[in-house]
Amino acid sequence: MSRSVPQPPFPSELLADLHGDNLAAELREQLLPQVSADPDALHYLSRLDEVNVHLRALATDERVMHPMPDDVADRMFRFVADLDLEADDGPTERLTTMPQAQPDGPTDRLSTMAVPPPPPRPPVDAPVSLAQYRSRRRRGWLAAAAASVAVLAGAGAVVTTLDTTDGTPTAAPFTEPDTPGDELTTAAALSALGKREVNGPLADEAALARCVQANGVDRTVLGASSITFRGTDAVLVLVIGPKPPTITALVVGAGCTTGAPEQLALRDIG
Amino acid sequence: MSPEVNEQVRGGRTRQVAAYRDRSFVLENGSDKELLAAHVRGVPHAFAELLRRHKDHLWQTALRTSYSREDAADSLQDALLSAHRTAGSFRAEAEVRSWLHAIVVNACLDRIRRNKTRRAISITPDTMPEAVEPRDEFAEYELSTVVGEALFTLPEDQRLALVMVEMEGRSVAETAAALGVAEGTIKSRCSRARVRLQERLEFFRDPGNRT
Repeated sequence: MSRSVPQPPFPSELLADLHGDNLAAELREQLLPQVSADPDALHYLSRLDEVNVHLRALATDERVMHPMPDDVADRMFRFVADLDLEADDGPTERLTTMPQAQPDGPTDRLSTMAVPPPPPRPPVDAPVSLAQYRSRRRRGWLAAAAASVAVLAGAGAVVTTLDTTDGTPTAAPFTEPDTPGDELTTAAALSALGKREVNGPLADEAALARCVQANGVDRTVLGASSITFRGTDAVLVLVIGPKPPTITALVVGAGCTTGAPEQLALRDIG
Repeated sequence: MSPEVNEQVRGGRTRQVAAYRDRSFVLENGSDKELLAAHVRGVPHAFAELLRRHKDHLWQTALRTSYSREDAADSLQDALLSAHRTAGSFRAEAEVRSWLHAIVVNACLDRIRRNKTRRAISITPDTMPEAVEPRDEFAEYELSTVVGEALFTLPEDQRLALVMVEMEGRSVAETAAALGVAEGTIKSRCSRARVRLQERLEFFRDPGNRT
């Protein structure tokens, strides 16, 4: 017997490499007879097998040991809501590639539908990158966001209209004012999209949520930013509009909270 | 008669809208496949309902298959985007959850490949929340729970290799290719990981170590 062949007791790492087919063929052939004759080594190998058994059991275990944390869940649901909103903005791949279901038929018809050859699409192995999506989504929002700029630039006029309405309220026309306000530039408004750049109490997500709720627009926040509005500190909040693909632009005072909405401007755009 | 109608949308474009979109479709009562089909046909919130049903499973999958919590969240978001967009490619013979699961795993691997030069903060026992499964009724089958927890005590390279090979059923060659390393590296990582998990199991098998 060559002295180069390990003898019992075998190091656990060596046995693990043998178990995991991670040894050179020559060494494996030399080692196997030694290991087969060593009860302790065989016992250890069976324990390593058990590890695999437990891992496979874990893979099919329905129990959830690590549920999705609230912050992640909030992010994911908001993301999906945005995707739905974006999809509603025009035809999407999902609307053109799914086999035609029979809505009146039983559920199991879905499993027997003929599946047409799929058109070119991103393979599952290559999901659309988040960066690409963000870029596209940002572009997708630009039109609506730009409209919000137009409204907010003339928000002083809008507020005046609302304050002086003494008849049946009517929607103010979304026209550029004769003298656009200089409180909110286009760049500033666009920067609120997808951002959380708020100073003061509304920097807190919960406080922002209370403020949005206080203003009756308790919907997904698309962005928020501190601004100067009509010469005072304010916060611009963009939320999903009441009907896709609109955006609701809300401008509030910095102290906005439950019972004190401090609403300076509120318009649905799009 | 086709159940589809054309709906004029902004910009003069048309799109097909399922006739049953206007009918009462209770999302909570639909099967996963019905929900996915509904999503493809434009029913609002159908995809969100799928997410609601499977979010914990998908998160756990992403967590096990990522180097960090941040990567897990980003990968899951990548996966949701992909699934949302490619729902029409779903094959009805598969389970929706399995389909989503595979998309999440692939998104995680894709992110690992892209982030090869950037390593985020690892998932460690300190950064992982305690598993929700109680340990007071210790039994042999609970060892799977122990293994599930112990996975996150492994170096992330080892955890990922073991998850892919033993839990996801990928071959060593597939895993090596997906992670951009040599097959021997995957084998070695798996072997080291098994040793560590075996030590952990041995510890918990000792009644004196159970609380």
